[in-house]
Amino acid sequence: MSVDSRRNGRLALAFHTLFVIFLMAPLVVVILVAFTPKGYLSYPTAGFSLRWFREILERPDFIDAFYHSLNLGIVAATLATLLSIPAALALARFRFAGREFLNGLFLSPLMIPHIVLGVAFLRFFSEIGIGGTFASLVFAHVIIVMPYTLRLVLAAVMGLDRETERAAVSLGANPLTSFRRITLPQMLPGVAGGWMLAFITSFDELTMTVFVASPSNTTLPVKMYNYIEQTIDPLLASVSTVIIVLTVAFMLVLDRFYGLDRVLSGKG
Amino acid sequence: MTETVMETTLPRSPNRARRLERWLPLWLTGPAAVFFLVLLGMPLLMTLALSFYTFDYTAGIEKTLTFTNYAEVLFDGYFHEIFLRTYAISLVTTVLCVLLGAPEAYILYRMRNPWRSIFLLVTLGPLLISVVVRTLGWVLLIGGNGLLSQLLQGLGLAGSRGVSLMYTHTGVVIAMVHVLVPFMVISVWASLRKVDLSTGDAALSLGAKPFTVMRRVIFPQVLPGVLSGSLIVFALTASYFATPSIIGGRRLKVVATSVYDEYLSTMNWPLGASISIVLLLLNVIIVMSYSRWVERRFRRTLGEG
Amino acid sequence: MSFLTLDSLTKRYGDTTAVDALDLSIERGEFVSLLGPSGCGKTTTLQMIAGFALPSAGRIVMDGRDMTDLAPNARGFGIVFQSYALFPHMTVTENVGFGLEMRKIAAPERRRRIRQALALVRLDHLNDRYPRELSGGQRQRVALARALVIEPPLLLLDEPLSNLDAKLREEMQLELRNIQRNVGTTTLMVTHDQGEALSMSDRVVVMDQGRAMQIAEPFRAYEEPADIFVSTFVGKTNLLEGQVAAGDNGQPCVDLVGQRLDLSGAGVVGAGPVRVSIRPERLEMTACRQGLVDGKVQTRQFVGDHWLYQIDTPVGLLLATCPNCGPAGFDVGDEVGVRWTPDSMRLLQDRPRTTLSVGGVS
Ligand SMILES: Nc1ncnc2c1ncn2[C@@H]1O[C@H](COP(=O)(O)OP(=O)(O)OP(=O)(O)O)[C@@H](O)[C@H]1O
Ligand SMILES: [Mg+2]
Repeated sequence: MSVDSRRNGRLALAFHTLFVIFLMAPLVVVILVAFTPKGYLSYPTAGFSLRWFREILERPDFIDAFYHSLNLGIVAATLATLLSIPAALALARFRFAGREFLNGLFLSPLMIPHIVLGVAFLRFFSEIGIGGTFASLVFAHVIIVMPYTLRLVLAAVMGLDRETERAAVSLGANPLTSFRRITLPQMLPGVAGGWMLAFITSFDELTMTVFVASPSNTTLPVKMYNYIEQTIDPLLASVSTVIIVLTVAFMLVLDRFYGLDRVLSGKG
Repeated sequence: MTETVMETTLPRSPNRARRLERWLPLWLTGPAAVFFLVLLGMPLLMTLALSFYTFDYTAGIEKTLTFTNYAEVLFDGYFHEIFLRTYAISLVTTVLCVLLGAPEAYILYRMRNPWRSIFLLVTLGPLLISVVVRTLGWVLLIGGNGLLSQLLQGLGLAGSRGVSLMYTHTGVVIAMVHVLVPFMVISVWASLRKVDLSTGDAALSLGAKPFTVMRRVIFPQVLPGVLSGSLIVFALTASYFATPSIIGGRRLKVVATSVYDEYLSTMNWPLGASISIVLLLLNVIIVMSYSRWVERRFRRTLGEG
Repeated sequence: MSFLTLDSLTKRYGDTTAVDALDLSIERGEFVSLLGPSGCGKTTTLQMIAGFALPSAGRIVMDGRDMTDLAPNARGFGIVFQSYALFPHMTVTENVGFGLEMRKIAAPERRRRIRQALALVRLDHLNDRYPRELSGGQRQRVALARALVIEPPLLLLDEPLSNLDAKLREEMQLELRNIQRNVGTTTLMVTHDQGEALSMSDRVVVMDQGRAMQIAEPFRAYEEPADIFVSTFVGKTNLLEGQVAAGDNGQPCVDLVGQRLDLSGAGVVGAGPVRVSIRPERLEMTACRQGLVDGKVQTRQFVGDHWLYQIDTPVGLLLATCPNCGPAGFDVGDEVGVRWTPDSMRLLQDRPRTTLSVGGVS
C-alpha cells in the first residue's frame, strides 16, 4: 500500500507539467530568439541562424564584461572562502565572548537588501577614492557571498568527527599536520560547495553591482541591464543563451559534487 | 568543549594553553571581522549619515543635519504609493509562490529517481541562472509582440495591436513569481526531507482519504518550510530591483527602483539614502517580528527538539 | 618496577572530580581492563594516559619516564577509539600507513608493515576500500591494525567493541585477545561490559565515581569482591544481612539462618549487622524443608544454559540459578528449600558512598 499511496495522481502530474512549462518557458524563448536570422526580435520560423552568436564576437564590450565577471567571481569566492575557513573553525569549536555577534555580523548581508548595500558601497568607495575599481567590486562581492561560504564551511566543520583528529595526533601527527592531512580534506566538499555557490552568486549579481561598477569595470549582468535599458535586440538573447549553457554546465558539476538541493538550502 | 579542543591540539603547559584558548578564536575570526566591520559597517553608517544631509540641485550635497528627507519619504503621498505598491506586489507574489511552490515540492518529493533528481534540477536550476536572463525571457514572452500576445491573437482573444503585460502589475508579479518560486520549493523540500512519510501511511490506515492525508498530516509538518519560504520570498520581493525595473519600468516604480532613480538619475543621494534606510529598517522589522511570531506559534509542536 | 604506573592520577572538571587519585601499576605484556558504570571516569583516565586531557594532579610514568606533560603526538601509544575514528578520506592502506608516514618510515618498509598488520587482523583483501565501504567489524579491525602497526609500547582501547552486535562482539573479543597475546603489547581497555572485562583481561580495575574500588584478576574480583559495589557490579549476587556472633570456639562468626561463616581471619571487631554476599549459582534448590530456608518461587526465566529463579524467603528475595539439564525442576508458586555451603559466603564491608539495599539484586 505504501508504494501506491506515495504515487502522484493524474492531477498532480498535470500540475507538475504546467509548473515545469512555466519555469522553462522564458528560458526556451530566449534560446529560440537567439537563433533568429532576422535583424529584430522574432522567432526563427524561417530557419535557424548563428548570426547573433557571431555578433557577440564583434562586441568586445560584452566579452570584456564576461571576463570581468569571471575574474570577479573567482577572486571574490576565493577570498570569501579563505576568510570563512578560519572563522568557521572558531565559531564551531570555541565558545568565546562575541561569538554570537560575529556569527550575526557575517550572516547579516543576507538580511540587507542588495539595493541598500549598493548605495552604501557607492558612497563609501567614492569617499575613500577607490570608486569604480576592480578592488572595490571585489570587496563588495566578498561581503555578499561570504554568508554562503560561511554556512557551508560551518556545516562541514560541525559534521566532522573530532576523534579522527585525535587519532592522527595519537599516531604522531603534530597539530599542523593533523589539520592539513585530516581536518582540511574532510572539510573539502563543504569548502568546494561554498566556493561554487559564492562564485555563481557573484557572477549573477546585478542589483548591488549596478552602483559599484564603472564603465571600465563592468560585469556582464550590469552590461546587459544597461543594454536592455536602451534597446532589446537578439544580441541579448544570444548572450543569454551562452550564459544559460555555461550555467547549466556549472550546475551539473555542482550537483554531482555536492547535491544542488543541499547547496541551495544554504542560499535562502 | 573548549577545554577538550585546547588539550587535543595545543601545547602542554596549562598556562600557554589557556592563553591560546583565549586568543586563538580572535585570531581566527579577526580577518573576517575586520573586513566586515570596515567594509560593511562603515558604508552603512555613512549612508545613515548621508540620509540626514541636505541636497540642493545647484549646490549638491551639504553636510547639514536635516529630517526633511525622512519627512518626505514618510509623509509624501508619492512615496506612500511606491511603498504600498511594493508591499502589495510582495504579498501577491508570496501567496502565489506558496500556492505553486509548496504543491510542487510535495509532488517532487513523491517522485522516484531518476525523475526526482531530474526535476529537482529543473526546478532549482533557474536560481543559478542570471536574473537578467530570466527577466529578459519574460520580456520576450509578454511584451507587445511576444508569444503570449501572438497566442491570444491566434485565438482571436486580442485585437490586432496585441496585448502587452509590460509595465503592468500582472507582468511584474508573473516574472517575480518565476524568479522566486524556486526558493519556496527548496524551503518546503528541506522540511519535507525531515518528514516521515509513513505518518501518511498511518493516516491512510486509519481511514483518511489521500487529500485529507495531505491536508491534515503532511501539510502541518511542512508548515515551517512554507513559513520560512514565505519570509524569504516576501523579503526578497520587497527589495527586488532587476525584474521590477525591467518589466515595470519608470511607470511602475517600486522602492528599489526609486532608490536607483534618486541615486543615478536625480542625483539626490540624501533622499535616496533615506529611502534605503527606511527599506532596510522595514525589512529587518518584518524579518524579526515574523521569525519571532513563527517561533512562538510553533515552538511546542514543531520545535527543533 | 612495573611498566606503566599511574600515581594518584586525578582529573577535576570544575566541581566534579572525574578521576579521584587513581593508583595503578601495569606489567609489561599485561591486559588490563577498566570496568565501571557510565560516568565513572574510565574514558577520562584513558584520555589522560593518551595525553588528550591534562591531569589536575598525579603522575603517569612509563618505563621509568615521566609522561605526565608529554604532548600526545610524542607518546607513541596505539589508540583504538570508540567510534574507530578512521580517516574517511583515506583507504584502508592509507589509514594504516598514516602512523608510519608520521614516523618517516621509507615506502617499501611501510608497505611491508601495512601488509603484515592487515594480515594480522585478517583484512589483507580490502586494501583499497574506504571506511564507509566496510562493515562494523571490519572497521574495528582496521582501527586495531592502524594502532598496532606503529608497534606501540602501550595499546589503549576505549570501548572498542561496544558498537558491534552480540555475536560479532564475542568473535572480536576472542580475536582481539589472541592478537594481543601474539603481539604481546601491553594493553589497557575501557569497557562497561563486565562479561567482556572478565573474559579478556589479566586483571580488571573496577571503578566507581572516579575511584578504583578493586584491582584484581577476574576470578578474584568475582569470587572475592572487595565491597558491595564490586560484588553487585561484577556478576549478579544476593546481598543478605547477618549478625556477628561468637562462634563455637569463641571466634567471631556471621550467622545466617544457621549457616555460619568463620571470621577469625577477617579482623572484624564488635558485634552487629553485616552484609554477606552469595552468588546465585552457589544456591542450591531443594524440596521444602530440606534446605536452610524455605521460600516460594516467584518468577522463573529461561536463559539458555541455565534457569534463573527468584525465590521469596524470610531472609529476602533470593536469586538462584540451576544449570539447564532437561526441563525445569520447579514452577512458579512452588514451595522450595534453599541451601548453601559456608565457603560460598563472603563478608562485605559497606563503603560510605555506596548505597545499596540489603538483598538488592544487581
Ligand atoms: N570535558 C568535560 N567537562 C566536564 N565534565 C566532564 C568532561 N568530560 C567528562 N566529564 C565528567 O567526568 C565524569 C567521567 O566521565 P568519563 O567520560 O570519564 O566517564 P566514562 O566512565 O567514560 O563513562 P561512559 O561509560 O559513559 O563512557 C562524568 O561525570 C563526566 O560528566
Ligand atoms: Mg567513556
